[in-house]
Amino acid sequence: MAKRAKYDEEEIVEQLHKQDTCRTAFGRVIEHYSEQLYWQIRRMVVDHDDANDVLQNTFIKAWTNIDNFRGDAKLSTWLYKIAINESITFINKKKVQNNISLDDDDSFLVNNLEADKYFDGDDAQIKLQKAIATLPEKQRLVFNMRYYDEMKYEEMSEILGTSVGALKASYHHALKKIESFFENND
Amino acid sequence: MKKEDSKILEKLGKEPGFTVPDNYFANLNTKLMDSLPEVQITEEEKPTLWVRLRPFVYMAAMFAGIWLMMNIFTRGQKSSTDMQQRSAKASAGFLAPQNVEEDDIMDYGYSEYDLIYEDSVYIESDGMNGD
Repeated sequence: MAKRAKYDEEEIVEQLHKQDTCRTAFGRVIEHYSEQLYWQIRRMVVDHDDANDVLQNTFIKAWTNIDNFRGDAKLSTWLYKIAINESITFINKKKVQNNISLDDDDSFLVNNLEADKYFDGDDAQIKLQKAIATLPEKQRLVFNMRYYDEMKYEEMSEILGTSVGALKASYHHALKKIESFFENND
Repeated sequence: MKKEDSKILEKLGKEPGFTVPDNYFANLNTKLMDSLPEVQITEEEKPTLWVRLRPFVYMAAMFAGIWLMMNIFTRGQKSSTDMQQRSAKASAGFLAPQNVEEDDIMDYGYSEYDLIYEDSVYIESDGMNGD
């Protein structure tokens, strides 16, 4: 098997802006980020098929806007931003389709979690997913990034455009809400 | 588990329980690549030497202009100040009391007297002629 060259972001970004190398370079980007972005999206939209669609839209959007990426921020930050925006757009579309107010929480996403063939968590994990779904969008994002991805607040701050202090407060509020959800749903 | 996490979360662990179809990630990259449309990349043109140097040349020209103006202004100001100083010095020197001798004052007084005297003599002689 041919040995893959080491992923060098600077080199990849340079190749992304050349007509003859951009497609191959973007293939390397997909290879490098697809799985982590998939999980980020999956935790937002919950359903596997939906996550698959949103991931595809994320990469198509990144690819068609590659000219706008000048390497000022990290490629991962840029991709995360697109993935988050695509996830939120998708959830809002789904809310409209299901006649749910955009102001309501995203609990509808986890209604059929027990029946989902791509979910094998126990009751406690279902409960946690339900608790997370009741959080406001920003708190959900912060909680997922911090709790599951163990992302640094500084990196989160770049992606979400919020101060580190506000993110810490969001995470703290999310934890309190999850705890109270567990206490009230025993 | 970080100290900021709650006790409930400590018991649950970090596996959300989501799964994916078999070989999903193995085929994902190919599927994603196939879904990409054709795009035209606008390749950034390498800037010429002049384009790269232009801002520095403009800046240098601007500073040279400012320096030149400052130079002309200060030189003009200096020459007018010199002239003022020189004329002030000259008049101060001319009028200084230590440079005026007593004889000069006497001469000046006599010359004035002479003029007045000559005028009065002239008027008197005119009057006599008229009679």
